[in-house]
Amino acid sequence: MRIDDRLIGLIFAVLGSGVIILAQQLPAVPGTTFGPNLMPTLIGMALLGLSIRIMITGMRAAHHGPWFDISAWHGRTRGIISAIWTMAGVLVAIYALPIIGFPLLGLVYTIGLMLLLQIRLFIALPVALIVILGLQYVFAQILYVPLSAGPLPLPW
Amino acid sequence: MTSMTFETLATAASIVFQAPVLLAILGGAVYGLFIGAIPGLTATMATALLVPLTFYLDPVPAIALIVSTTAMAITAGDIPGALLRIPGTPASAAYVDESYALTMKGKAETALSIGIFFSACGGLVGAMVLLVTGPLLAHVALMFSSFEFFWLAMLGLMTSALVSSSDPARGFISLLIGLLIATVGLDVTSGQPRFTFGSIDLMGGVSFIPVMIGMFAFAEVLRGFSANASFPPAPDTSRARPFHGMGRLLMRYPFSFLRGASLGTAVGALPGVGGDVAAWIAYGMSKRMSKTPEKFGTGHEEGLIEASTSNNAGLSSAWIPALVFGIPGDAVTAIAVGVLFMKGLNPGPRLFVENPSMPTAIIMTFFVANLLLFPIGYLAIKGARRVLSVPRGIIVPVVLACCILGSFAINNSTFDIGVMFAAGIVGYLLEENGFPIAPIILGLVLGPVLERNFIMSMQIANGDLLGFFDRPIAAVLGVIVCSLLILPIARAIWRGVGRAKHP
Repeated sequence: MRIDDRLIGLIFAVLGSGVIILAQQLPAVPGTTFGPNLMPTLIGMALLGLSIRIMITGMRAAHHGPWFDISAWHGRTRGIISAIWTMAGVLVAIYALPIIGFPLLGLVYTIGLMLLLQIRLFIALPVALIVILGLQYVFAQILYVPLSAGPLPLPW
Repeated sequence: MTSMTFETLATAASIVFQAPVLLAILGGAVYGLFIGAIPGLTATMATALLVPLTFYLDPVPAIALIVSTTAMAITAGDIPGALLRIPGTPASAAYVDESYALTMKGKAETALSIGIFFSACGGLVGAMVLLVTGPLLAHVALMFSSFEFFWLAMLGLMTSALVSSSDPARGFISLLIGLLIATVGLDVTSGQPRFTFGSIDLMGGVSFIPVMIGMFAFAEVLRGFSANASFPPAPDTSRARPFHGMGRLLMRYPFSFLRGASLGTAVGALPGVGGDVAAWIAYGMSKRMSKTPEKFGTGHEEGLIEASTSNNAGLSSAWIPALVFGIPGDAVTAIAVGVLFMKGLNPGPRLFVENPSMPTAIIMTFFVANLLLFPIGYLAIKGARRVLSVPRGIIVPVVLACCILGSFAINNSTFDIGVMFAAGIVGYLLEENGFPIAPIILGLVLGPVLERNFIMSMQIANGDLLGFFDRPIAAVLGVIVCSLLILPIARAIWRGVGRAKHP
């Protein structure tokens, strides 16, 4: 997704200004001249300066395209659904991984995506089982990562 | 004195030639082969996905895994380049047309053999330079104060911002984003919480590993969904005779090899540049210096030899600034420096003095990894078609499962999966709009180093910026950094004046 330079410049200008304002609110350290606000202030100022340059370049451009150009995704329904599935799966992992457990989440996530990417079920199923259970075994049993097994019964 | 002694070498060898290290090198090579050979999956992405695993390894096997993976991934990037005209990694992009033209002439095995044979040779030369110069440079770097380290960090960051994008402003914005993320958490000098917004998870700062996994792997997967993911079938190379005729080519083009090795080593060693750029420069230089420049682009071996040699030589020498000064040369070494910091093994000249066998052992893994390129590369040439036929539909979900698990395993927290997700979305949007990712990672890793040395130097100089130029090496580095900063601005103003005069 391409975004017009004028808008990109504006976004970074807001970010730079925000950083400068927030940095000024950081408490000074008694006895030192150079406190925790110095570095963020310099970063904010540089961001602001560069974003203005990008904004000006965008304004000077002979041809202005749309603010958001999503032509790369046109006609790619399968790609769009795959991207949504991918992001949704990660969001589920963020909020529910300890409850659902990695094996169940991983299996549904990878098999679903493989099917979306046109892998046949009889290939997707064994591959996903080997990969997800293998990852669960390595991380939980060998590396001692406290990875929730969830409701699925595991062979170990 | 920090020169290499026999005792250091022997101790280092005893560290390297142990089962965990050798297994890490072998595992890394096989893994790197797959990732590098699959178009769209980069060596940096391979490294990013590995880092959670290195968390559980000792320092030397952890770094050996990274070294071996990247060396093999960069080398294997030549395989789809030669067979499908799709560079497997950005480092192969410089000479992809040349190697594909050679394949079109019915010489696929020569194209693949050059890629692997000369990459391994280049990597060995780079490793030798690293072994010899590392301790010597460390001896010089021992005299460095916060001023020199500040300028060195600045040099690495500035160069990375300048070379990674055609628009310096975009490169610098990427760099500033990395530096900004690095400021989150407890302030390095005063211990004050900064930009944590009351979140306990942010107190320790933003973990660089989920950011990296998000920006290099998750973002890459998202981008892949909008691109044409199917590739044409690759030619069959199972009957090829790998490395046949390589000795003859080496005798015919010795200067191309030597030039590629020295150029790659020199360019790779520059802080902030790394090995990718070396291949582009080497290919261009080979064409300029060649007696038969008209043959370039038609499947000519000369340029391929020079560029293949240079990109792996640069890959090894990029570790010189990373190990000796603690200033990484590219995204991969930035990751490695982060891993070393995580293990309490702070890279820098002190490491060469206090524990010389450790950096020597790390350097030694380069030799083993590059030597291993020959047998693994042999198998890769034989089985290239099989590797390339693994469907993307299988690779992508596996990569995503690794992204989630890898991010979680760093702190055993789903918060880091969220960091990975956010970094992935931001990384996707930035790269789609021409903002390079490597400077973000360099900024993130070097941010605390830069800030600590900057604040310390400001305090020593009492806020007088001229104090940053008082010491001779600091003055030289400072002038280089200032010129790097001023030159693009001056050029832009000059162009503006020129346009105003001749509209």
